[in-house]
Amino acid sequence: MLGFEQPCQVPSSPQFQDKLPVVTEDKDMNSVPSQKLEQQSPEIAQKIIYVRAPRRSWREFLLFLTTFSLYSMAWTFGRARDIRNATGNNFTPWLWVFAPLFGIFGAIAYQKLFDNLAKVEDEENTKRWKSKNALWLLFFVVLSIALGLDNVITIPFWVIFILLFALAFLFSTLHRRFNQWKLSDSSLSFYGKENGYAWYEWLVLLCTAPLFLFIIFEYLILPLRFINTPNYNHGQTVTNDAREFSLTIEGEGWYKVPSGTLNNETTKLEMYGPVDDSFIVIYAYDKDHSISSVTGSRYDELLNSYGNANCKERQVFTKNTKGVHSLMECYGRDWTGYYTIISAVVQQDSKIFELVGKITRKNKTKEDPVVDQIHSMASSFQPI
Amino acid sequence: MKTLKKIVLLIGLCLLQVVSHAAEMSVKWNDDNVSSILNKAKELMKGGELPPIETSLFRNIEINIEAGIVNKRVREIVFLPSFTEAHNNGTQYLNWDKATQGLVIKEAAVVLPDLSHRRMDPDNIRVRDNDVYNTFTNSKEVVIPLSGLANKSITVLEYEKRTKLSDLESIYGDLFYPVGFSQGVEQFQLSVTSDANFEFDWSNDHPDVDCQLQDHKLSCKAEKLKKYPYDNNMLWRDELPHIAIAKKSSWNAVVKHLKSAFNDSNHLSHEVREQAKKLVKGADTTMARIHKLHEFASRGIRYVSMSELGHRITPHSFSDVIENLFGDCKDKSALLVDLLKAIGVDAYPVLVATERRKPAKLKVPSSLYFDHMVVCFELIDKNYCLDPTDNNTHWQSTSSWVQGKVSLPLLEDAKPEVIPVDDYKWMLRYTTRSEFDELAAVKESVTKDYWGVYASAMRQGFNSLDEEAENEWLLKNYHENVSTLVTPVFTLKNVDKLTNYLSVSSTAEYEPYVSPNTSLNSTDYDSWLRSELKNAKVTTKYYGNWVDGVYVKSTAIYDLSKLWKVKRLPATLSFIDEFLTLRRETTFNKEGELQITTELWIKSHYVEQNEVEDFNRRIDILMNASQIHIEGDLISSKKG
Repeated sequence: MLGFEQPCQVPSSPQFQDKLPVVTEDKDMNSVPSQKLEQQSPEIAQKIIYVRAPRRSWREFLLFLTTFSLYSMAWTFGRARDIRNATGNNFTPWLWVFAPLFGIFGAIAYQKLFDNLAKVEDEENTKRWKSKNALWLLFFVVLSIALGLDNVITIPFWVIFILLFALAFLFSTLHRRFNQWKLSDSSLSFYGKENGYAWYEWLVLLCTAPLFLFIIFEYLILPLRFINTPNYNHGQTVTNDAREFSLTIEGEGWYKVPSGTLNNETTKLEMYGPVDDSFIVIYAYDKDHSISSVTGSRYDELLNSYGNANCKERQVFTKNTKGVHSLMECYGRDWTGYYTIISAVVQQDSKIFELVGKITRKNKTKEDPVVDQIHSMASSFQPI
Repeated sequence: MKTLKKIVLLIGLCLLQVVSHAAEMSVKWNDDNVSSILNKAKELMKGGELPPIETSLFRNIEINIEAGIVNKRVREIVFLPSFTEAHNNGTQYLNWDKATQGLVIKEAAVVLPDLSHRRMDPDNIRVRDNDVYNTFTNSKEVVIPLSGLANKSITVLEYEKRTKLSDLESIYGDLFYPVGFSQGVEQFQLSVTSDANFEFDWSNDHPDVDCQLQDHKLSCKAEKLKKYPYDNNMLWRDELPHIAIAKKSSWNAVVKHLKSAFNDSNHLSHEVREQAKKLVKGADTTMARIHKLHEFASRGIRYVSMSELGHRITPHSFSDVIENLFGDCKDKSALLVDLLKAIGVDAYPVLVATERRKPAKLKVPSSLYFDHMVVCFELIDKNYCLDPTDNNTHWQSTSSWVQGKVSLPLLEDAKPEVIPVDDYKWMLRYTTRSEFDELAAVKESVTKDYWGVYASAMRQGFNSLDEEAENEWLLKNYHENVSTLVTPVFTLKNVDKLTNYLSVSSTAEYEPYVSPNTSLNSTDYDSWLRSELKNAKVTTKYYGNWVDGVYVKSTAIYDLSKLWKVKRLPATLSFIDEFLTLRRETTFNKEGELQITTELWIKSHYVEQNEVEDFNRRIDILMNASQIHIEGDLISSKKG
């Protein structure tokens, strides 16, 4: 009769039990009740205000965190719609999707959200933040800028993780405030689950949580193994036990990790670089290989991994002019950022060694100290 | 009648001259039984302690210079342990200048293991003229085939040469190599004695030979001298230690003596001026005039060796050479010097030792080291050396076989020096243009330009072949170096002209080598560059060697006709060391064609024996790097 199925009441959490009517969890959030209400009789539309059911902040926190705060876009959309429904303001909710993305401009949007939230809070005499608005906005701007800096400079992953954690916490506190308002306003009707997640939220969680845990493990937990590993110093010469090659360290912060840490293949040396996603691996090849076969295989591998690779190769004599030093530099972009892969292959007599250095950066800067370091180390990589 | 008398008198005088100089060769056994050298050989055989390899058991040279006569007595006993040595060295060879030397073979025999001996039959001796150049000598080769030679035999040879010093045109001198490449020497003795009227210089650079000079007597002796290892392509005169003796002199005196002989036939006469004027007609510049004169001397005058008595070091007169239109190196040089002087170019003759690169080995002032003559001059601050016997090399290039060789300019205060070497002797520039279609069928056109002495070497090769043989050679060369898949068509340019460059062009069409709509994955060597690198390798094993300079510029243009998009380009090369450089750059030219430019420089230099392996390894590296690998995808097809 109303063009959509009228929400029916579902059991609510003990906290909210007996307080408010709640719409069914089966409804699509995009099927905004208020929009549909326009098709109802004016009397009913004026009396029933549908907003998303309040939900415990920690549940929201989990969504914020596991989605690396991408959930904040959906969350802001939902809250903008709640406010629009409650105030009758002419918000365009989908535009609010972008609010979390634009630091200072986002802050202006959130200020508007706060203003409107304050109105409904005042109507219900809900205890509101007042002075905390500015603090929240300040944190929001600072965190947004700090995360945005990652596009300019490479920020260690653990710092990014703390920033994301703080941002998730920040939005969770705001969610808590929304909860307080919703619970104090008796004129509101709720839809959506107040206890637990909707099926699509579960789907998101199932997808993002393992990825989140993997990234945490890979970038936060695993590196802890090497926390006590001493760094190499600039200018220090590194070789393997058999003294087959020499590598002169450029810059600070390079440290050796056990063979197999970075690669399943048998390697001669593996090193982590001073920034995340930067490393150097050294391989050895037998006499059946040649410079061209090794560089050719490396190029093919890059092509298979990245689809496209812009490579330049240059061959020179080794320092003692007894062998060949081939330097292949490849640039490109994948979902993690702009990568630079440098492969230095040295051949002397029947021995062939390959140094592969890689760094991925968020931005495409012409000069990067770690790229320069890898380049210098690859250039000076010599057989002994 | 008076004229006839004069002619008869002249002929008579000439005959007398010839008879008085004519020496003889004779075989004169010391006695009918056993000579002392034969006895010594038998004693050595009897002693039983013979070495397992071919060895000279006794090498004795005695020189006595008295009353203007040089008596040289040589005695040698050689043990040949097997049939191989017997086959290879059973015949003895002696050089003999019939006009100035008397030769007496005193013993030539074989001692067999049973201590019996067999003398050679004098009727078997042959004299042959095996020296086609005879630049400053007129030596013949005396061939002495020993009879009855068997395994584990000993050969015995004793001979004497008698030379009258006054018969010699050049200052007396002689070189002795105590040990060579084929056999060690158990006992070496050399003695030189002279009377008070003859003073001589001597030198010895063999570390194991001890020489002492006392009262006009030089005595050198050594025992158990090891043979030297032999390398192909080596200049053995630079490597083998030797003892030199020559009449006491100085380089200045040697130059003066030779210059005087040269000038005897050489003066700027009216005839020379007229001839020069005729030859340079139409040439506007000095360079053009030099070109014409050089072309006349090298191509207009045929090479004929004419070092008969009286012309060992003295060239024939200008008139004789012009009349005959032939001459040897000194004749041609004298003629060219005259002609060049006639047009105002201050040219001078230069003696060359074509088998020597090390002036330091010429320790005693003497002309005996030299075997060739060229003409040098300076023009606009640049020194040029022209070899008029070389009819394939442009005058602005120095003939390949002369470069880097020891020379003695016939100029006051001159000393042995080296003819300058081109930094880059073999110069080749070529462009390969490859037009690809959608199946990678390739139309290839190659133009190779050879420069300088490389042009003359190619010209010399082509000039010795007829058209069919020329084409065969070019095809073989292409198949060996590039591919056997095609039969190119060749065009030659400037083969006959005496220019400073020569071109070889070829066109060929290769069949498609990819299936429709598959990727292009081409790996080729820069074949001609690779071939030059291969030729640059040092092949000596025991000695250092000179590396001739090489410059190669290869431009490979790939016209992919906008059908192929190149994915992977060949590596940029920048191999640089002190003497070797290989650079390669890849660009797209204005027409959008892929252009790969490779340049190779190998500077002329000497590679020490202990550096040969490293040098060749670097050449191998460059050969591998000359590979051109291209990957591409088909964009579209012209056929739709």
